[in-house]
Amino acid sequence: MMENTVNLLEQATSALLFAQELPAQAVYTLKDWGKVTGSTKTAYRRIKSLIPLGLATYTRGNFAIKKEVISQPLDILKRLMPSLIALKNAKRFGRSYNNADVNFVLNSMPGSAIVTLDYKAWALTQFQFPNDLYVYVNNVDESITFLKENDFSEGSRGHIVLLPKIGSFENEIERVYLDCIANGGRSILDAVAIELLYGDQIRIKGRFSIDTIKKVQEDMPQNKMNRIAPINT
Amino acid sequence: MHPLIREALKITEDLGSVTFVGAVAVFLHTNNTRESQDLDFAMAKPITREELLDKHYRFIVENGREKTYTPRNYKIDIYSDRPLNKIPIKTIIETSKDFEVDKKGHKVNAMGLEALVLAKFRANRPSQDYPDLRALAVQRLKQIDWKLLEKLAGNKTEFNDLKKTLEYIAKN
Repeated sequence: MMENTVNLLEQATSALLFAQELPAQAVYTLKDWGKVTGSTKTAYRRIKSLIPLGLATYTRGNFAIKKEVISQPLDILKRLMPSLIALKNAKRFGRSYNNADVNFVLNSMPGSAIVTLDYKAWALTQFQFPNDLYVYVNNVDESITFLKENDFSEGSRGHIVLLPKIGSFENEIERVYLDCIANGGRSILDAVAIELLYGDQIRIKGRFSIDTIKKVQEDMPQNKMNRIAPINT
Repeated sequence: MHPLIREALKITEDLGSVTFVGAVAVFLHTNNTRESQDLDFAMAKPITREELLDKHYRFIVENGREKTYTPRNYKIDIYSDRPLNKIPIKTIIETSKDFEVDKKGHKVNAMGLEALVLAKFRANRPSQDYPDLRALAVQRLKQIDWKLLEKLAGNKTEFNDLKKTLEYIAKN
C-alpha cells in the first residue's frame, strides 16, 4: 500500500510544483491559472492528480487546494502520505451532532483505537478548542457496524471521524503532528503549537509561514509559554 | 456554555457595549469550535488603559510585545480606532447582531454575517480564514444578504470573487 501511495505522490510532482506557484487564494478559476502551465488542459490534469491525495477539489472550472499542505517540501510530503491517505478514506458519523456523540465514542472505543487531530492536539497544547473526534481504528468496517448499531449515521455533519490505521504510530506525538499538517486548515496551527511545545520529540519538521508561527506564539495560553522552543520557517 | 462564549459574556458585563469579531463571531454564526482562546472585539468608544486596569484587566509584555489579558486570563485585542480588514468599526457595529447565548436571555453582540465573511475573505490566511470561510459558507450561505455584502465590499470585482468563493466552498 505504501508503495502505491509513494507512486501517487510521484505522479503528482509536477502538479505540486504548479500548485506551489499559485498565490494564496481560497478558490481559483482554471481559466485564469491555466497560463501558469501553458494551457488550461495541462492545469486541469495537474489539479486532477492532486484530488486522490485529498490536496485539491475541482468543480466546473473552479478549484481549491490545501495551500499550506502543498507548500511543504517534497521530503515532508512523502512523510505525510500515510496521514493523507487515511484522511482521504475517513468516514464521518453523527447521532446527536454535539458533544454527546464525542463522549459516547470516547467511553466505548476499544483500547487499540488512537485519537488524533482536534482532541489529541487539544490534550497536548490547549491551543484550539476541539470540534471533531478523529479516531484511528484497527477495523473500520467493524467500527462502522458498531456506530450504526448505536444509531449513528454517516454524513458530512457528524463529529466522529473514523480513520484506517495506515503507516507508523510508534511516535504518537510525531504522528499527530504529521496528521495536523496533512489535514491543513486550522490543524496547521495545531501542528505549529505541537512543534513549539514538543519540538524535541519530533524528528520530521514541517515548514510554516512566519505569520502562522507568530499567530500561534502570540495566542498560546500563558501557562504553556515557558515550554516554547524555536521553530523552522 | 462553551468557555469562549462564557468569557465573551463576562467581557460584555465588564465593558458594556462590545461587538465581538473573529473567533467568537465565527462560533456564534456556525457553532464551529475550532478557535484559539483569544477574543477580539470592537468598541465604538475607545476604552482607556486606566479603565481596563480598574476592571482588573492586565497588560503583560511577552516576546517584546504588550498583550492584554482579562481577569480570567484570556488574551484580548480591542479595535476602536483602526478598521478591521478595511471595514470601518462604525460599519461593523451598525451591522452587528445580538445572539442569545443561554436560556436566561443573556446576549452577546457579534459582527454580522456579511461583514464577517468580507473580513475573512480580505484577511486571506490559508490556515485561519479559509476554514472559517468554509464553515460560514457551508452553514450560512442561504442567510447571506448579498445586497448588503455588495454594499460593504464597495467593489463589484471583489464582491463577485467573494460570492464565487463562498458558493464553491459551500459545495466542495
